[in-house]
Amino acid sequence: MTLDGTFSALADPTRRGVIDLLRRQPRRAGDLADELGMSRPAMSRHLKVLRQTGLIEPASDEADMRARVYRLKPEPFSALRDWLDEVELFWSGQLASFKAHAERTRKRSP
Amino acid sequence: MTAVADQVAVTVFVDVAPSDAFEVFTAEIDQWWRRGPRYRVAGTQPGVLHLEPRLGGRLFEEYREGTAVHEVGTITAWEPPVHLAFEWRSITFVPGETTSVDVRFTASGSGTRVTLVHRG
Repeated sequence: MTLDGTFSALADPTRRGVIDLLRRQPRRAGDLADELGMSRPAMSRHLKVLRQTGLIEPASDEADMRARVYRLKPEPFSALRDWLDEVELFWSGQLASFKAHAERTRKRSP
Repeated sequence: MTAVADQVAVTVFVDVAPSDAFEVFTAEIDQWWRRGPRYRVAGTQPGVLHLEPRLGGRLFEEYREGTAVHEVGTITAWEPPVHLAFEWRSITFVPGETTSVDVRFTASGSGTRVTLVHRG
């Protein structure tokens, strides 16, 4: 799993929808497809991306041990938060530098 | 922050007119863009950042004396002096993977509020 992978896995609105739903509780693939108005094969492809990125994992349904549900893995989300902090730091630094340059070269006389 | 934190927004107030802010941001990008390995592919080596000023233009870094290029992305919105957007690919991204950066320039008091949003 890489942070760029996490970021791009979450670039897709359907996959963000899946994460939002799984945040509340683990769900079956079929329920996720129904809730998000997707076909099951299409949902299965999205789940595969999320699984490969390490964002979600399969588990047994507590109510029915034979059924498989998906749940969030917590680790990538804290890694993603770290990465977002880094992106924020990157742009804060850049915009400070932009501001300094703009005001040095363009500022109207006081 | 949304339920899934997949974007970063940073705002800065610049005490110049929006048209000047837009011009500096785009035409002079290489002059204010920070240097060093955190900010440039060239790292500590000399490199030049170019932004082609049009829709469909490219944002790219030229380094190793112009023999190497890292294309950051294409300009997806070009509306001077209020709005600029471009794709953003880090050198570590796999092919096809991209993120987007959206920059708005809004007149505010004696200057301009610049709001940059980086989305996954």
